[in-house]
Amino acid sequence: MLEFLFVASVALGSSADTTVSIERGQGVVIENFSGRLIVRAWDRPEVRFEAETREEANVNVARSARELSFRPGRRWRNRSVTTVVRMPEWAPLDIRGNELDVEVEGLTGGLSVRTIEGDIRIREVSGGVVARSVAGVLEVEDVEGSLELFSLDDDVWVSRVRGDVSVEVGDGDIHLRRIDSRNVQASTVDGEVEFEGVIWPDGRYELTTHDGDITLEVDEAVSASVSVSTFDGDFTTELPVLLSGLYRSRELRFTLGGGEATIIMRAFDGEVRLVRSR
Amino acid sequence: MDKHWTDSLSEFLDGHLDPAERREIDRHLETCEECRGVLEDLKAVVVEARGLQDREPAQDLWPSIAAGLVMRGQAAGDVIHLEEHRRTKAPVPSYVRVTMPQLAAAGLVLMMASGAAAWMLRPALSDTWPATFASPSAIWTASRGGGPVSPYAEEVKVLEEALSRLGDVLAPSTVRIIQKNLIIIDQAIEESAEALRNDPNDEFLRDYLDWVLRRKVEYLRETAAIVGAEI
Repeated sequence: MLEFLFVASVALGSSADTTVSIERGQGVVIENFSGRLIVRAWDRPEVRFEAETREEANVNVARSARELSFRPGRRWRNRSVTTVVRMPEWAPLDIRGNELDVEVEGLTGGLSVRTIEGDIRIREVSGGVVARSVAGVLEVEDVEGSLELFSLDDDVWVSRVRGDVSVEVGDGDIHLRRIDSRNVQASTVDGEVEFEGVIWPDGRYELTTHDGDITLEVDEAVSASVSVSTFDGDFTTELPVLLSGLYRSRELRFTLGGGEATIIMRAFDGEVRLVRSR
Repeated sequence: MDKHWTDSLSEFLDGHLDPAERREIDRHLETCEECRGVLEDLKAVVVEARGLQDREPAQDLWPSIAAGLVMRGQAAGDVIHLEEHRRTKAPVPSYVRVTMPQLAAAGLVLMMASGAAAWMLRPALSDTWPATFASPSAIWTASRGGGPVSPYAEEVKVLEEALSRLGDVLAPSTVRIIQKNLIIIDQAIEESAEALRNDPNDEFLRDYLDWVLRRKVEYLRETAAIVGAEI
């Protein structure tokens, strides 16, 4: 059962500032704010919620055994505000916003971000990341653990990730750089897909676009069975390939090295490129 | 023959070079008889490949196909026979470009080399095709307005209705973005269906159409979850 702690109604000149304690086992929920939300880790067992606004702003804080939740108070609603949150790195965080840009850094307890419109930037997070936006650029760096991203209408940039990667985009590009994963799925309807990273022998890597190019950049020593399909496009490779079959009229299969990993690339209308790591 | 020119001739033939690059190739062709010969050879196999008819193979033709398969390499005049490569483990040249006409042309070479009647392997129909479609032709019949367009049609309808109920709640910009992306995915579906109508036995196109239909469901599900649509 939620216990409403208080309605923090603070006007401190240029910021509204609220700090509450948190215990291990509790997560943090931040919901329905608009503007810009910056989350950083600190080493105190407290959550500090600091809004940069010249006007009086209030935040509703509720506590249950499992979570601390922060929601805008009546005087805050529909106001676009920059808010800085500091919280323990071990606490899971769930953010849901409407028109909200989000920046999160330094958490280890897992992260979920959902915004309707707004960019999402995530750095140095572990414990699993899920980020979804209807319209907003997603930028993710230095993540350990599974990564699940969805953007209906913007680009996704991912770099330095260790863990399973799943990215779905409607209208936008997907850039995956320095990925160390045994399971990668990336698809967009209208955009390019780019992957550079480790190909594990027991890994599966599936890259698809309807209208755009696919570029796979891998080390020369890669061992993989590769399927390339394109309805209206070319296939180019810088690596030595060993053709194992012209399977179906628009699918080319070949092996790289020992052929251990599975790589599938499909571009309905676009070029598929296999390039050597620089 | 310089590798630079060898690499460029295929792109030149496919029309993938920009005007400056085309002019450079044109100038080079005026003085290089060898490149002119290569270009004529490429044109010839593309023309012949266009006249190929797909036919069902009588047997697994790959061993004989592989024996004759040639790939154009990076270095001057390189032609790599794969079976020879397998025996010697010699590295294949490091840059290969395969266009669809060339893929077809490779098939032509294989057919000639093996004396077989077909150049393409055609495995059994994919299990992944939705059971609700009796045959591939049902796709284009359906998408012309007769019957369900997709096995996911009912779920798509529910999700679209759930989103439309939020039309007055969501910001107009959000509604426009969702509508724009529905148009994009519907165009992708129509392009895939059109390709399949033109080539109803193509398994890649059948699997692909299913994939793009499922993408629409996924996008609607994700979007409905993000905006909090009640389903």
